[in-house]
Amino acid sequence: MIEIKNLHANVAGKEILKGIDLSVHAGEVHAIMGPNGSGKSTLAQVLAGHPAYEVTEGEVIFDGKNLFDLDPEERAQEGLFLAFQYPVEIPGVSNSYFLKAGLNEIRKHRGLEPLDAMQFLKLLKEKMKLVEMDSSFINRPVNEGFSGGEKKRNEILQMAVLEPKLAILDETDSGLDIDALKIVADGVTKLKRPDNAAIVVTHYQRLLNYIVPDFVHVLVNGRIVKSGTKELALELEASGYDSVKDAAAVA
Amino acid sequence: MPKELKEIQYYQSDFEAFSSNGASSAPAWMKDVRAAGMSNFSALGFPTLRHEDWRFTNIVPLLKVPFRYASEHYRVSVTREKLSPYVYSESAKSYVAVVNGRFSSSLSNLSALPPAVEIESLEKAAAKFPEMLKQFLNKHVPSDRSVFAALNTAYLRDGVLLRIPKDIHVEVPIQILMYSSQADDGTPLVSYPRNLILLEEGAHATVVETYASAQESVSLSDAVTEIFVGQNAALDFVKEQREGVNAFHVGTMQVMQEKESRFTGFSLALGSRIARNDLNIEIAGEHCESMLDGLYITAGEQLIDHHTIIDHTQPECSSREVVKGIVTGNSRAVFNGKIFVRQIAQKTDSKQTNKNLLLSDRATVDTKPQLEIFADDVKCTHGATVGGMDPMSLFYVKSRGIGEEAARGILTTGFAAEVTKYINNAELRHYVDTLIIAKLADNVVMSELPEIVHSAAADFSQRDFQQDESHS
Repeated sequence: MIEIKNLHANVAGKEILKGIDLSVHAGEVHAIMGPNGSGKSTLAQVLAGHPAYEVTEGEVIFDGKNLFDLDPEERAQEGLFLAFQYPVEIPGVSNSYFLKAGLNEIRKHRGLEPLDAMQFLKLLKEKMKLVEMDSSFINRPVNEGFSGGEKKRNEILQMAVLEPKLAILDETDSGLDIDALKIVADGVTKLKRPDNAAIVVTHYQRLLNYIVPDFVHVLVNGRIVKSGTKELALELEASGYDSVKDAAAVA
Repeated sequence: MPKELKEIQYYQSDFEAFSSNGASSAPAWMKDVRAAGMSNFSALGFPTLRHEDWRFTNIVPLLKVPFRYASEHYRVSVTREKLSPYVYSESAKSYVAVVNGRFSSSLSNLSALPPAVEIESLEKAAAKFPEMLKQFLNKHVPSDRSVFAALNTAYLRDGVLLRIPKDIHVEVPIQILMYSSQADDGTPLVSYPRNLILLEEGAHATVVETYASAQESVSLSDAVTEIFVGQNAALDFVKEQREGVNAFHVGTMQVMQEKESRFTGFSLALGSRIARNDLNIEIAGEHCESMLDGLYITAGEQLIDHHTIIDHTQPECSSREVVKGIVTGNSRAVFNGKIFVRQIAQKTDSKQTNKNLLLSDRATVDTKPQLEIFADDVKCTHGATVGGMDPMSLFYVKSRGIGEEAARGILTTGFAAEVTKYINNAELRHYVDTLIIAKLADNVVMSELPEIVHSAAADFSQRDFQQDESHS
C-alpha cells in the first residue's frame, strides 16, 4: 500500500524527520506512537503534502506511484486521507457542499459518475449514522463553531464518505472524552476492510484499546526506534517513553 | 488658475443652463435648495489627495472627462431590452426605471405593487406634495461637507419618491433601477438622481436600488438617496452598484431612523471605473437596530471606496457593520467606517468589521475602521483585516481531493457568503450571490466557481434533505 524509505523532512530549515522506513500493506493497521516533538505529526502532514514541510531525502511509494510527484489533491484522489489533528474551519462553506465537491473529484479520478444532490445526501446520512452525527451538521459551515469532539467526528465522517485506501489519523484521540473516543474508534473499525489500511498516530495508548493495531512503531527524535505488535503499546503505557528514548540514545 | 478651479467652473457653467432652461419650472423652495447646493459646491471644491476624506481616492480620472449635464438636449436611446438584464426577477412587476436621472414611467412596471404604495417621479411629487417634500427632502444630506452631495443638490430635479404608508407591509421587493448612459452621439453625460424613500410608522418593505449603465458607456452618476425609517418600521435595502468599466459613480445614501425601527442595508459594489459610496445612518430614536453590511469586488483598474458613518445619537440601540472585500488585479479598495456613539447614547451595542481578501500582489486596500465613543456604558468592537488566501485552509480543502483552482473558488465564495448571509430575503440573497459569482468568474479567472450554498436553515440543500427525510 505504502512504502516509506529513508524519509527526511525539514520545516523552516530544521530537520524533523531523520530517516523513516515504514511499510504498510492492505488490511493492516499501524500505530505510530512517540513523545511530543518526536515527528509523528510531521510524518502525517508530509504524507498528505503540507506545503510548509520540505522533503530533503528519501522516497514514498503509494500504491505504485511516487507520492512526492503528486499534489495534495492528487494524493487524495489516489486514495490517501489525512484526518487532521487540528481540522480547519471554513466559514461560508457548508459541510455537505464541501464533502460533495471532494467526493465527486475523487469519483471523477476513478472514472465514476458524480453523485447528484439526492444520491449524495443519502450517502451522507448513512455515514453520519456511523459516526453518530446529528443531521444539523450537514449545512453548517465546515468545522465552524464545532467543539473539539465534533471536529474530530467530522474528520471521520469525511473519511467514511471519501473511502480512502490509506487513512492517516493524526492524534484523532486528542481532546476527546471517552464517549467521543469510542464513537470515533468505532467508526474507524467499521470502515476497516481487507483492501484498505490505516496509520494511527497517537501519543496515548488508550485509543489502541479501541482501534487494535497490527503493528506499533515508536518514533523518537525523527526516527523509528522500535517496532512490534500491539503488546508494545501496552509496554510503553507501563514504562513510558523514557525507556525507548534511552534505548535510542544507546543505539 | 489652479486646475481644480477650472473644473469647478466647468460644472458651474452647466448649472446656469440647467437653472434657466429645463429645470426652470421648479417651485421656488426647490430653487433655493439648489442655490444653497451650488454655493456649497463652489465653496467646497473638488477634493485632492490632501483632503482627509479622499486620501486614497484620486478623482482626477473622473475630472478629466468632459461630462455634460444629461439634459433633454442630448438624445439617449434606452429601451426595455437594454434595461432587462438589470431587472431583478422578483421585482419584474414592481420596478421603476430612472434613466440619466429622469424617472421613466414608460420603462417601469409597477403592476404588482399594492395601490397603497406611492411611487413616482420626484419632479412630479414636488408639485403634488410640496409640503411633504419640503419636510423631508434634503434635510439630512451632508451637502455642507460632501462636494458630490452638494453638486447633486445643486442639480436637484428628479428621481424617485417612494412612500410606504403607515402599517403597510409590502411583500414584493421594489426595485429602483438607476440607469446611466452616454448620449447617442458619444457625449459623456453626468446625471444627478435624487431618491427619497419614506417608510411611515410600522411600514415594512424590501427595496433594491440598482445602479447600472450601458456597458461601454462613459457616464457619471452623482446620486443621493434619502431614506426615512419611521417609528417601528423596517426596511431591507440593497444598493447594487454595477455600472460598466467606463462609468463613474459617486453616491450618498443618507438614512434617518426613528425609534424602534430597523434598517438592514447591504452594499453590493461591483461596478464602475471609480466608485465612491458614502453610506450614512443617523440613529435618531431609541431601541433601533441598524445593519450596514456589504461586499465589494474590484478587478482590473477599478477603485471602489466605501465611506460609512453610523451615528448613535440615542440610547439602547444596536448596530452591526460587516463589510468585506475581494480585491484583485491592479485594483484598489478603500474602506473608511466611522461609528459615533454620542454621550447620551448609553447601552449602545455596536460591532464593525472590514475584512479584505487580497488576490493579487498588485492590488491595494486602504482600510480605516474608526470608533468615536462619548458615552461610558456601551459595548463596541471594531477591526479590520487584509490578507491573502490562507495556506492552511487551502491545504485542507485540497487534501480532500479538490484541485487548486476549485479550492480557491470554494474559499473565495465562502468568504463572500460570510457576508451575504446577512441579507434577510432568501431570493434576494441568492440574486446577490449570483452576481458575485458572475463577477468573480469574469474577473478573477476562476473557472471552477462553486455555487454559494448558505448554511442558513432555509437554503436549497436543507429543503432537499428534509424531503429526503420524509420519504424514508
